Formats: sequence, structure tokens, C-alpha cells
Amino acid sequence: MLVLPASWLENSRKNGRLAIGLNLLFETLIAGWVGFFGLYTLEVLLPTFITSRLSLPAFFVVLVGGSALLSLLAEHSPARSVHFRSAGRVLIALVLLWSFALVALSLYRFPFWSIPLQIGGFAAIVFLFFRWQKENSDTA
Amino acid sequence: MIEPLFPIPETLRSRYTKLRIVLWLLIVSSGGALLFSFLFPTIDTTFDFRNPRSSKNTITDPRSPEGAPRLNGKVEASGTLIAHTSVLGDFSRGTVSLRLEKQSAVPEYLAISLRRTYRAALFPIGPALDRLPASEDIVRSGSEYYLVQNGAFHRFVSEAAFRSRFPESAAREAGPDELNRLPLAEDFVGFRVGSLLSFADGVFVVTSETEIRPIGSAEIFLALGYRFENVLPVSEEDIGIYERGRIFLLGLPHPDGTLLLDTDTDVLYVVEGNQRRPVSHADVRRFLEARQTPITFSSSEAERTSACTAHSGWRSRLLSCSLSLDDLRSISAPDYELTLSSPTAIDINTLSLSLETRPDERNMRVLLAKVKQRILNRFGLTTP
Repeated sequence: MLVLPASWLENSRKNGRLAIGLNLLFETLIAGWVGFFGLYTLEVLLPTFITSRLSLPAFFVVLVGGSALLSLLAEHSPARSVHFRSAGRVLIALVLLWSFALVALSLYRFPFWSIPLQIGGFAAIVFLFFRWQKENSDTA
Repeated sequence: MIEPLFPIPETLRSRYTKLRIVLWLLIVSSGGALLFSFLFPTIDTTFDFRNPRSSKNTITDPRSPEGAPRLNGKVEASGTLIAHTSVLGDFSRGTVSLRLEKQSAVPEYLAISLRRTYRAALFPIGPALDRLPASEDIVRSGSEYYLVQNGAFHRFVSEAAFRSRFPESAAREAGPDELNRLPLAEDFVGFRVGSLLSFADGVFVVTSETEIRPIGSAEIFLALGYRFENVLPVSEEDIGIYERGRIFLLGLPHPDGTLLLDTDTDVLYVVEGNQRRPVSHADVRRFLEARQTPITFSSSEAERTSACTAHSGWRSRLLSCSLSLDDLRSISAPDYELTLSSPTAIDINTLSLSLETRPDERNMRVLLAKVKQRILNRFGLTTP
């Protein structure tokens, strides 16, 4: 749990600086995540091309840390309820296309019979995760 | 532009906009710097004197001018340390850094110089080569050749192996029943040491009478000055007489048998036992040059150096200086010899040399061509 002086947070919230900081952090993270997935795609396409120059795991840890910080600070922000605009269909299509291309690249040259096995295994893990999450929320 | 996710008070809007502009300028410039470092990478080479046997050391063979190893990093007063590194690329600047041990004295300055040439071209000159080695009795029977040595016939593994070592005139036709006169040895005579052989997808260099070593990549092959037209395609039987040694990578001097031609003096050398033996006999030279194109170097270019003086900065135990590599650009060898001299006794912990790729269109095209080639290789496609 992030521990910041309550008075500092309260002052920042009142004078609006916290909102500015959160917006700037959010934009930095957007750019960071987009950059990370771009570099990750390049790495999948050309193994070691990126990782020989930049540590992707370290970059990932920084982004996760930044995202966690944003999430924690957002609890103290003046806008308690944040309304994300619904993402456009074009954006969703692009993300799906990119995900498909990445999976296809990763599975390239795998034995044909193992491809449905891997996709099925991944889908099963995702299903179990969501079921576990649902059960937890129902219990709560 | 992304709208604020967290509502900003109207009074702070202007400040927020300014900060946003600064932030995006920072993001774009960071992205640009990252892209620049991908296109024009800086290659770091190091030697850790606390782990002198580490495979991570990309600077090799630290020694005194007399050739005594200096693996512990200690350099006496007015002493000199020489080391090598080998890298592929077109570099504009080099930065030499030394981190000293805590107990080491910190010198006022360190004189550092860098030169570029093939390592073998810096070998001392040995005795002249005035005849082909082992020009004993050689007999021919049909397409098979035998070397008569130590009271036995030693069969050449193939006609190509014989031709790599001797001219046709060196063999005489075997007399009737002559081959029954002496026993046939179990071992074979292979190719001339220093020959380049190809089998399947690999190119090998013959490093001794019993060993061949695969050359790491086509890039390394060309960087060493070899030519593909000198590679002899051989059979499984030809290659089967050799043991396969470790992969031949950059950083090693050319193996024995390599032909080096000094373009300044027109002297042909044969590398042998860490020496360069000048070929003094015209017939021998003609024969060798007909078999393998010599690797050329210039003795005057090999003497050309780029120098700088290292001083300690705000961290007193770290001395560094930067030098321009423009004068060494015309030299094609991948090997760099680093020389440092200290007026006082020092104890070095780590020595490093960083080489910055020249930011020009040619190097960018080279990198993009490599990326394209890698993508095509990844999907089993060939270049058009």
C-alpha cells in the first residue's frame, strides 16, 4: 500500500495539482504501453533485436509500477468516478488484428497439431481465471 | 490529443497545457533517442581484471609490449598495457574508460592510443619461407597421391588436398609394384593448413593438420578478409579426417597458413606460430597466390593511431577520454589494438572501450538491410 502524507495529498487534491499529475502520469503510461507493445511486437518478429539493446522486462516492471501508482493515487483524486469513453470499433478491430498477428507470429513453425492445443490451453486458463474472479466477487 | 481523464480546475488549464506540451516533447525526444540508438548502436567492449577468464570479456589478451600477460590489471610506473578487441561496424568515435581499484594510485593522466589492423598483421616477422614445407617424395597412382614419409605411404585424402599443398610437378608416377614396397599408413594427408573448405552449409578453416574450425558467419568470414572464391567444396570423406574445433569468431588472429600481403611493400607473408614468415621464393609465392588470394593490409596504415589523454573526472577512480576514429575509417580490419601508458603504477579493475556507430545514411541502410534479411530468414524466405 502506498503511503503518502495525508496532508500533502489533501493539499494537492484541493489545489488541483494532483489532477494535473495524474493526467500527465496517465498520458505517459499510455505512451509507455503503446511503445512497449510496439517493441514487444518487434521482438517477437526479430528475436533479440530489442532485448540486446533494451531490457523489456525492466520496461514492463516500470510500466506496471507506474500503472499501480496511478491506480492508488486515483483513489485520492477529485474525480472519484471516472468515465472512460467507449472505445471505437476501429480501435477494437485494430487491437484484435494486432493480437491475432502476434499469436500467429508466435505460433509460426509450430507443429500444426499443437496449435489448437496451445490456443485451447490458453483459452481454458482465461476461462478459469474469470470464473475464479466471478466466484470471488459473488462471495464478497 | 487525449482529453484530461481527471478534471482540471479552469484556473490550472493553461499550466496543464504547457506541462502536457513539455511531456509530449520529452516522450517524442525519448522515442527518437531510442530509435537513433537502434539505428546507430554504440558497441561496448570490456575487460574485467577481477574475472580475467570470463567469457563476457570482449577485450582480449591484455599484455605488456613484450607479450607478458597483464591479466591482474597491474601496470608499473611508466608501464604500458596493450589489449585487443574486434568489432564489426563503421564507427566515428571511441570512448576508453578505466576504473581503478580502491587501493590504486590515481595517475594525473593516462596516454591512450588505438590502431586498427588484422591482429596477425602485427605478428613479429619470422624466418623467410623459401620452399614449400615437407617437399618430400610424392608419388601418383591414377588419381591418388601418396606422400612418402617415415618409411610409409601417406595417402592424400583427395586430389584437391594434394593440389592445395603442391604443384602437379611435385608428384612422380609410381613405378610398377612400387606401392607394395612400403606399408600404407592409416592416417591421411589433408589440405594445406590455412585452407578454406566448405561442406554442407558450413565454411571451415583448416587450423592444423588434424583440426578444422567452422567460421561463425558469412559476416565474420568477410570481415576477416577471406573471399568466397577461395573456398574449396569438399566431400564428407575429405572433411572426415579432421576433428572439428570451436567456432571461429572475431577476436582471434588468423590461423596458421593464412596468406597476408602488405600492399605497401608487396611482401607476401604466411602466418605460422604467431609469426609472419615472408615468402622469399618467387615460385613458392606464385604457387601460394594461385591457390588462395592473400588478405591485404597496409603496414603504414597499421601504424596509424588515434590518441587521447585520459583524466579522472568527478569520480576520481574513473579515467576516460574520447577519440575520433575518422583516421582509421579507411582500414577494413575488424581488430583494434588499444595501448595505454601510465606515468605512475596503477591497478585497473575494469577497462572498457565504447564505439559509436557513425550516424550516416550508409550505416542506416546497412542496419535496415540486416533487419530485412533477418525477417526473411525468420520465415524461410530468400532475398530476391
